[in-house]
This record gives sequence, C-alpha cells and structure tokens, in this order.
Amino acid sequence: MSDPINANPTIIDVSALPTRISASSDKSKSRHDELFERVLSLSLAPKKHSLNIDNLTLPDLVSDIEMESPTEDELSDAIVEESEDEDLIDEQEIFDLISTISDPEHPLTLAQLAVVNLEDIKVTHGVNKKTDISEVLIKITPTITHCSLATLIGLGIRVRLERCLPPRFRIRIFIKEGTHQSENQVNKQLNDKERVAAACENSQLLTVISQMLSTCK
Amino acid sequence: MVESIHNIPTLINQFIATVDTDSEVSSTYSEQLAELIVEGELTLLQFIQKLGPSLTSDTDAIRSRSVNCLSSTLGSLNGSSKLTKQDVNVIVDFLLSKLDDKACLQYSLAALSTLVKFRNFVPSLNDNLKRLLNAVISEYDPKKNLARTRYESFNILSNTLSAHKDYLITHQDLGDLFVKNFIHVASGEKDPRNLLVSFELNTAINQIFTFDETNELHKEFLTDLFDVAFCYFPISFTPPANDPYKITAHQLKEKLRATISSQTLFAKDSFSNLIEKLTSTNPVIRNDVLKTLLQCVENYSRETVEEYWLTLWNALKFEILHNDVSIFKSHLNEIIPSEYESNIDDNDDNKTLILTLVIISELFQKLEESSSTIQETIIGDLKENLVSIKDKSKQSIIILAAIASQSIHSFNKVVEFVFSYGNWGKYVNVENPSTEAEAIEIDTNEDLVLNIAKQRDLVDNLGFIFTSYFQLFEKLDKNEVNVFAENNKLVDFKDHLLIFLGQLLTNSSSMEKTLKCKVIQQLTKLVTLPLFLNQNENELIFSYFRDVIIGVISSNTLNWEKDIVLKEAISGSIYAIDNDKKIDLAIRLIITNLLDLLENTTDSVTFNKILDIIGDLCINYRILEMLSVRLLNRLIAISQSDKDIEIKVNLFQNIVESLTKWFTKVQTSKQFLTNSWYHNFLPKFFESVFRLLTLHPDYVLVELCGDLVGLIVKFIDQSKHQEILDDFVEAFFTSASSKIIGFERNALDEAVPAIGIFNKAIANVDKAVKIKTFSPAEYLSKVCDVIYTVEDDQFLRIQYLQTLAILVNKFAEDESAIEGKMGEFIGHFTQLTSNSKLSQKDYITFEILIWYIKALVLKVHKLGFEYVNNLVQLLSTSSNLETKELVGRSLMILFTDLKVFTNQTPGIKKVISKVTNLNVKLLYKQRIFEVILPALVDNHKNSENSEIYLNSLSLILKNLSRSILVSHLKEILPLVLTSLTLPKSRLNSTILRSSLNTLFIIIEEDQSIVEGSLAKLIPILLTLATGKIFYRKKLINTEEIRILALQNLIIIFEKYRDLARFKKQTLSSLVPGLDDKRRNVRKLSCDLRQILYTLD
Repeated sequence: MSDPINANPTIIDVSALPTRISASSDKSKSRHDELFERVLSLSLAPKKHSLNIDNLTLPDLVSDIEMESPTEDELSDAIVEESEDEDLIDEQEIFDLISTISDPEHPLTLAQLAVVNLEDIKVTHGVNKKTDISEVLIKITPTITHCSLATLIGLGIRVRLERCLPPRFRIRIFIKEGTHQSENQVNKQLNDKERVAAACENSQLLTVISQMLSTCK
Repeated sequence: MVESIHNIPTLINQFIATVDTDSEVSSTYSEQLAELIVEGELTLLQFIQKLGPSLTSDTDAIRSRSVNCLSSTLGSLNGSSKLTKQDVNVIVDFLLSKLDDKACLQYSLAALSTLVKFRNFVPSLNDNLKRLLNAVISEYDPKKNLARTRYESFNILSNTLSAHKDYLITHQDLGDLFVKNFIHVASGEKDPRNLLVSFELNTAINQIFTFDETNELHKEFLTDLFDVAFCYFPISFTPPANDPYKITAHQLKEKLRATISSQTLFAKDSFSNLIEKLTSTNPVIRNDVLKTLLQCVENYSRETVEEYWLTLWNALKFEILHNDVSIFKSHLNEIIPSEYESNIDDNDDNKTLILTLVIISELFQKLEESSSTIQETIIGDLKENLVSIKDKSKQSIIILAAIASQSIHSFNKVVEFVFSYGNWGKYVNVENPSTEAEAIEIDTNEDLVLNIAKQRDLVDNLGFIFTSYFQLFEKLDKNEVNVFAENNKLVDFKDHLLIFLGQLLTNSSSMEKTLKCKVIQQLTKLVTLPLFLNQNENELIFSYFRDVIIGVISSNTLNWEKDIVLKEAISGSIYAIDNDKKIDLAIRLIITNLLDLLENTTDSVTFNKILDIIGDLCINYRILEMLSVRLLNRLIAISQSDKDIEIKVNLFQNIVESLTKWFTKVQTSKQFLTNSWYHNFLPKFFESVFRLLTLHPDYVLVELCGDLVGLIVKFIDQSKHQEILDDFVEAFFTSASSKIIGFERNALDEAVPAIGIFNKAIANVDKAVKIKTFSPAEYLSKVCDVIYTVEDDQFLRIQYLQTLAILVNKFAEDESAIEGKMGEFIGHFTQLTSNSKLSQKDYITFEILIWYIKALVLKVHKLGFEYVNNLVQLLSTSSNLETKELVGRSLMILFTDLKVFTNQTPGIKKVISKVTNLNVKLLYKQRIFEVILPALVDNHKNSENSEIYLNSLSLILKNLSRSILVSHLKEILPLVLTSLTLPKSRLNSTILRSSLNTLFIIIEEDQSIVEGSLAKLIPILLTLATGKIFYRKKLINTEEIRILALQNLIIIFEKYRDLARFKKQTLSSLVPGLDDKRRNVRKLSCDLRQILYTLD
C-alpha cells in the first residue's frame, strides 16, 4: 500500500472504549451459594420427602422405548423456552463484533480510530423472532472526509456481520452524515446487494478483508 | 654414553610418517623422544644427527615434518634444563638460519616460541633475543604466510613477554625492538584467533612499557599500536559454523575495547575517532562505541580525561537531548537501571541513552574534584531548557539528576540551580529573591500558569531530582549520611514542594487522573526518601492519600474501585509504610477512617469493596492485629444489633471471610504465632457467632467461621494443642462449656450446626495430640446416632459425617471397632436382592460406610483399600440396581478435597507453630483411581446400565487433578465417546459436562488419541452446541454444555490440520448458534466461524 491517506489519526485508548460492564453484582453471594452447593453435592441420600422424585444428578433408569414419545419435545418446548433467560442481541454486542476489525492502513482497530461508535449503532428487533425481519443499522465515521477506504471498511464490517449474525438480520451500513465528500455514492455501494456480492467474488479484495478481520476478538 | 635401546631413527620416521594424518599418534613419538633426552639416554647432538637426513632432505614435505619433529620434541621437553645453554644457543642458531626455508617456517617459528621459554634461554647470551627479534622482522613477512604460521609468530612474542618481561623493561633497546616486532607481526592480521592474541599483546605492551611522547620513535610506536588495533573497530564478526576455536564476537569486542582503553596516550586519536563512529545509525555499533568510550574514560588518566571532557560532553549531550527518553521512569528509585548491561539488548536504541548517561556520570565523577568548570558548563548548557517546561526539560533534568547523584556538593549545586527563581522556583512558589528580577517576571508571567500537560511533565521531572537524592544517599557512608540529611539544599525547598504537590493533588480537576497519579507517585517517593521528611510532613502526605481514597469512595461513581487514582493512592500508601511510625500513621489516618466509613455503609457491595481496600492495606501483623480488634468489636455489635437477621448474617460473613483472607496473606509474607488470639480473640468471637447461630443457623457462616478458627488454631504453638483439643472436646462433646468456648449444648446428644466449626478446629490440631477421654467405639457410635437423626438436613449430616471422618482419620488408634461395623454394613448391602428397595436408613448407613473408607484411604490404611475393593466388587456383582447406582455415585466422595483434609496455607512451607495437622498421605488418590478406573471401564463394557459407570466416572473426574488423569486418557476415551452418543433418555448434564471436559483435556494433552474419531465427533459436538435437546421438559444441553461443546470444536479446528473438508458443513450447522439465546454461546459460535473462514 502506498502512503497512508490519513497518516496521523486521533487514537482512542483501548481502555476508554465502551464495554459491557458487568453490573456490579454481589459476588460474595454467589460464591457463598457455590460453597453451599459443593457441600450438598456430597450427600448421597435423597431428602426424606423427595425419595421418589428425580434426583438431579441421577439419570432415569427407564427403558428407551417407554419414553420416546414424539410429541414430548414439542410439548416441553414452550415451557423450557422460558427456563433460559435470553440475552438479546444489542448495540454493544454489535459493537463488540466490529470494533476489533483492523483498519486497512493503520495497525489499529476501527474502534480505536473512532470509525465505529457505539452510539451510531442501532438494532431493531422484529416482533416475532422467527418470522419478522430484524435490522442492524450502522453509521461509520471515516477518519477524514476524502477517505477512499471508506467503502472497504464498510465492506469489511458487512462481511463480519454477515458471518456473525443470524440470517434474520438485515444489515444496513451508512456513512455518518456530513463526514464524507461522496457520502451518497459510498452508501449506495455499501448497500447494493449485487455490488457487495460482486466484491466478495474478488479474491484479492477478500484477502484484504480477511486480513482486516484476522484481529477480531 | 650407552647406546639407546630405543631405535631413534624409527621413532623419528614414525613421527614423520604419521604427523600429517594423525597428530595424536605422532605426538606419542615426540614425547618418547623428549623422555629419552630428559633421562639422558639421548643427547641433543645425537638427536640432531639422527634427524639430519630428513632435515636436509630435498623434499619440502619431509623437511617440514622433520622440523616439526624437532619442534614437537622441544615442546614436550617443557623448558627442561636438560638442554644446556650451549644446546639452546645451537638450536637458536640453527632455527634462525632455517627461517628462509618457507616450507618449514611454521615449525621453525613454533620451535623458537617454545625455546624462548627454556630455562637455559638467556636473552643476553649469544645475543639470542635480539637476534631472534631482528630475524623475525627481517626474515618473516606476515602477509605471505597462512594464519597458522602467523599464529606461531604471535606465540613467540607472547612467550617472550611472559618469560622475559623484566629483561625487556630494563633493556630499553630490546623493549623498543619488541614493540617494533609486534607492530611488524600484527599488521594486516585478519584471523580471529590471531587477533585475540594480537589485542592481548597490544594491551600488555601498553601496560608494561612506558612511552615517552617526546621520543620520535615512541610517538611512531603509539600511532602504530593504535592503528594496528583501531583499524578493526567496530568489529562485526559472525563465527563460522565449524569454528574449532569457538571464538565469539563478544570476546573480540571486549579484547579490542581493552586495548583501546589501555593506553592513555591513545586519547588524542581514540576520542576523536570514536566520536566520529558515533554518527552510525546502527544501535549495535553505537552501543559498542559508547561502551568503548566508557572504558576509556574509566581507564585513562585523570589529566587526559580532563583535557578531552569538553569534546566528549559536546558530542554526548545531544545523544540525550535529541532523543525520546521515556525509558527513564520518574517513579523508580534509580535513574540508570541496574543490570542494564544484561537486561537490555545491544540492538536497543535505549541502551545508547543509558550508556551515554553512564559516561557523563563517570566523566563527572572523575573530574568533579579537580575541575569546577565541568559542573558549570553542564548546568550552563542545560539552563535554557529549564527556564520553562518544554520539550527538552526532561532530558536536561535526567542529565542533571545523574550528576547530582554523584556527590553532596554536586547535588546541592543542581538543586539550588533547578529551584532558583529563574528556573522552576517560580512554579513551586519560591520567593523572588531580588527586585531586579522584575524584568524576568514580565517575560515569564504567562508561563507561570502551567497547563495540565506541563504540570504532568514538571511533576515527572521533580521525580528525577528525588531519585538523585535517593541514589546519592545509598552511596554515602555513615558519617556523611547525617551531614547530608541536615545540610542538603533540597531541605530548603521541602515546604514549597509539599505545598505545590498537595495543591496539584487537591485542586486539579478530578478528570486529570494521570496528573494525580503522578503526584501520588512523587509524594510516595518523598515519604520514602531516607531522613528527609519529619513526622509532621509524613503525616501530611498520609492525609493526602487518605483524602484521595476517601474521596474516591464517597464519589460513589460506577466501578469506583477500578479508579486508577485510587489504586495509585493505595499502592503508594502500601509502599510508604516502611517503618513503625508510618504504620501508626497509616492506621491512624487511613485505616481508621476506612473502618469508620465501613460502619456507616449499609450497601453490601460497597461494604465489600471497602473491606477489599482495607485488605490491600493490611500488609503486616500490627495492622492485622489492630484490624482484628476493631472488627471483632464490630462483629459483637452486629450480633447484638436489632438489624434484620439476613443483613446481620451477611455482614458477619463478609467480615469473617475478609479476616481469614488477610490472616493468610500476612502469614504468608511473615509468619506469626496466634497464642494470644486464643485467649483474646476467640472467646468473644465464639460468643457472637453462637449468638447469631442460635437465631439463624446459617451454614455458610459456619463454614467461614470454621476457616478462621482453624487457621488460628494452626498457628498456635504446638505445645498448647493438647489444651486446645481438651477445650474443644469439653465444649462440644459435653454439655459444659470450656473457658474459651462458651458452648453449652452437647453436639453428641443433638445435631448442632456449630459442629462445622468444631470440625475445622480439630482438623487443625496437631495430629500427635490425643483426645484424653477418647474411646473410639463410644464416640463414633454416638456420632453415628446423631447422623441417623439428621435425615432431612443434608448439610448438617455431611458436617457430622466429616466429624466422623476426622475422628477416624486422626484420633482413632485402633481400627478394630470400625472394622466390625464396616463388615456389617457391606454385608447388608451384599445381601440385597434385585427386588429390595433401599430405605432412607440404608442410604445413611452407606454414607457412614463411605466416609469411614475415605478417612482410612486418606492415611493409606490397608483396611481402607480392602473396602475400596469391596465396593468395586459390589458395583459389578450386586443384583440390586439401586445399590449399584448408589455405589457408583459414592466413589466420588473418596476423591473430593475437603478443607478439613487439605492444607489451607499452601504458600507456607514450614509452619512457625511446628504444627502438623493433616494425616493425609500423598498419592492416595492415584492409588484408588488405579483400582477404580479399570472396574468402571470393564463394567461399562459389559453391562446394560452403562450410564451408572459413566456417571460415576464423570463425578470422579470432576474431583481429579489433571496430572493423575493424563496417564489414563486412552482408557477413558471410549467411555467419553459412548456417553456423548447415549440416547437422550439416558443422558444428563453431569455426564455431558464431564465427558466434554475430559474430551477437552484429551485433545489438549495428546491429539493423536482422538484423531481417528474426528469425523464422528464433529457432528455430535455440533448437535450439542447448536440444537436444543430436551428430555421430559428439561433442557439437557444447557448453556454450559453448549459452551463446552463449542470450546471443544474450537480446539479441534485449531489443533488439527486438514479439516477443510468439514468447513462447509460446519459453517452452515453453526448458523442456529448465532441466534442462541445466550450471548456467550453466540460469541463462541462467531469465533468458531471466524476460524473456519480462514481455514483452507
């Protein structure tokens, strides 16, 4: 690559980037519970009143044929769905996916260069997860207004997200308003299916993108 | 003379025949010849006569070997006086005449070099030495000879020098001739081995001979000696692959450096040439140049250095001034890093900076007393950089700090200069000394207010001055120390500095974290400078730290405990506590305040965070003791307060847990005895614990209190342990309470939660101590009785089972009583038929049995192993399914590590109280595993209830260390594979978890084991990772299982090559994982897909 277009960008320190801060929970509580569980696991005798109820660690000693009823899964499905909490895919998660992509011309990540910012990501979920379409909207901020690599960066982000998000998501990537000379052109290029598909056929381009994605964490 | 019985010509011929092919064999012949001469059986004359034909042979090869024979024989004679002076003279004459014979030259020279060492080689006799040296100059031309031959010519010189040094010194003409000879021989040398000798000789000549600069000849010598060495500088040498001499570039560099620095009179050439080479851009060369310069400054005479220092200073200062000096850290206690020579590579540009600074310091140290100009020049040169804070200030202050560390005088001068009003004095508010300075004031007015960046730089720069105080202090002897402490100039500016730093700390915006950290670093340094601050000033600094710590805590921002300023203040405080008075300060000013803060904190998260900070500050016994007293009072207050019981228990738990942690930390750093704690701490502690337990039997609290009590017991002197055990037995096993432990119930009559504390206490009692009233049968049966009563409270029952195990393991001397019981138990289970139903009592009986066995195998008692075999037997032969299942599950108990049977202070090797509390043998787990594993594997193969064995194994694996597991991986793999493919009716999370964990270990340890099964494994893992497997409304592959499956897949695709064929299939199978409900699963799915995309 020839001389970098923006040789002297502003850099954000990694520690200053937004992260998913674990809500400061009382760790001692769960540690104490664990201690309690550990001791209990040593008990062999079932609780007196629960002698005939399934033991957690004990597989049922029932023959295979007896229980393989086909409807069982479906019946249980609804109940079990609730038993597991859902972490929704949110803005921070999208940010985490794309923030560690490397810039094509600096040994820095897109987040360090403030090309992608948490506040410029928007996730919209469909009402029904299974049938409705969901959407991710990302606005990228080129380091300088005539950055010719903006399309490449956008393409890199798109490839990363297409690989990492479930197919129900539509991905839309735009240049942040007023941060690039040829905003509209780039936007068109980035969201045109045909063009993106064509770009992904280009093996040389794909190599560059692979390099950008190789730092993803 | 008797004709020799040896055949001399044969020896000579054999030598000549073998010397070119096998020098080892040939040397035996020359040794024999030499022996004959020494024993007088052969005279030199005879020897030469016999050599005669070959010596005069027309064939070059024969002639050369013949001279070689002579030379080797002479060498083997080892300077013997058997050769008379006359003999020596004859041979010298002969050899000198032989020098024009090119074919023999190497050996002639070698022979001469041995000859000069002979006792009968007299330099003056026959003008031997003079003729030899002259002949070498006139007859031998180094340029026309091979390296080996040239090596001999160097040998002549070095042998001459070592054998006839005094003669050469006293006879100047010969000395001069010798030097001339050396220059002749050394010119144009290229061979590394010869160069090493050449440099050594050159150095020796410079050290031995005195050269007169007014003497033209000597002047010429000096130039030549310098040239013949310096022309190689800087040496870059890569040893050839098969170098027989193993010469390194380092050796050559060192010798050359020694040569250049060995002659003061080289100075006029060496300094200018070296400085010129400093312009190189290669750091290796620059570092070589600087090291050589340093050695020259060290070795040359003071007068010479004085003559050249200005040139050096002018050349060197820019090395520092024009470079980035971030390698020098202002918070350290040294300017020049110790061990820099070995720790920093020669390739590193930073080493140049350090070396330059070392040279400047060395220059200064050498000249300071004789020349006042050096200091003034340096200060004068740097002045402009110090008037205000700008880009070269740090560089300049580093140089000044380096020279300030050299002497008291210099320190004072530098400090006075740096803190004068014109320089930094104005920033730290030093009074303007004169009215005429008004003019300056106008100039600098705008600079007086520094921006944040400049404030940071200034604070950093101050740090270097403090460092020089510290460095200088280290150098001074006892008498000087006091003079320095009282009369140094830094004391004059102490108040200014303290106020200045204090203001920066308190007045600057809370956003300026870096600045605050830097200020704290320097305050920490000030407080640790020896003999600098007085008590009041120390107090001031500690109160600054307190303000920072309390300030951050009360700010109550999110995650305030991660604030870097807070961390700096804590580590600063810890570092500053270096003597008793400062411990007092830390306690009085910081810790007490934190404790007060704790008192008013209701939120348990904040409460714990503050406890953690106190824990960080708890670094020695005095602080711990003080904390134990304060917190004990707190515990009493909590137990008596009318707060909600949940809150009380929670606070109690956290405090006890912290105390335990701190106790261990202080013990690990410096052990102490807890004899006094037994009487001072424990009684009240027990009182409040028991009060709380009667209100609310919280088992976690029991565990945590037990940990602390156990530790305290362990560190009480061993001699007191009988008394302690008596106390505990009396308190718990009778309805009376002992004087320490106010416990009035009898734990043998009813099940009491506090038994957990008793367990940990007696587990920590020395194992040599006995229960006085102990009758195994009686106590054990009583404990068993209690156990049968606790059917419903599993936790409490396990506590009592532990009591049972500890009693058997440590205190039962006669196992016969137990043996009967155990036989009875196992008999009962063996008799059960397939229709028998196990009662609750059966289960508990079995528990008692397994805990007995555990107690016994821990001390590797043969009864224990006998019963492990019985269990294994029962596992395979019992017709009762429920029993089989119970045995399978129970085996894990044998492997579980319990606090009462493991060392709770693994960091401490030799316990100060001399207590050995555990009665546990090493490797017991390995021994029982080796019995149990084959049984499980066999049964698994042959039985229809294979999941019993899988389950059993998975429970054991959870408690087994990897080191034991590793040697059994091959046997375990089939079980793992089966369990992953079990029908889901027989599957459960425990089996899956341990199978996946084991699989991970197997792949990590030894890839080859799994390689063949990959095609089968990958789809199975994918199903586990992405699908949802339900059985009876219960999710089998929970988040944990999915994560484990993905981790296994990741390690598979990372470790094995040629998996591209799975790429496409795996990528698409992973898609559902991208929409998993749990974020961690999605993350790993992404990671795996990323790995797959890069696979080809």
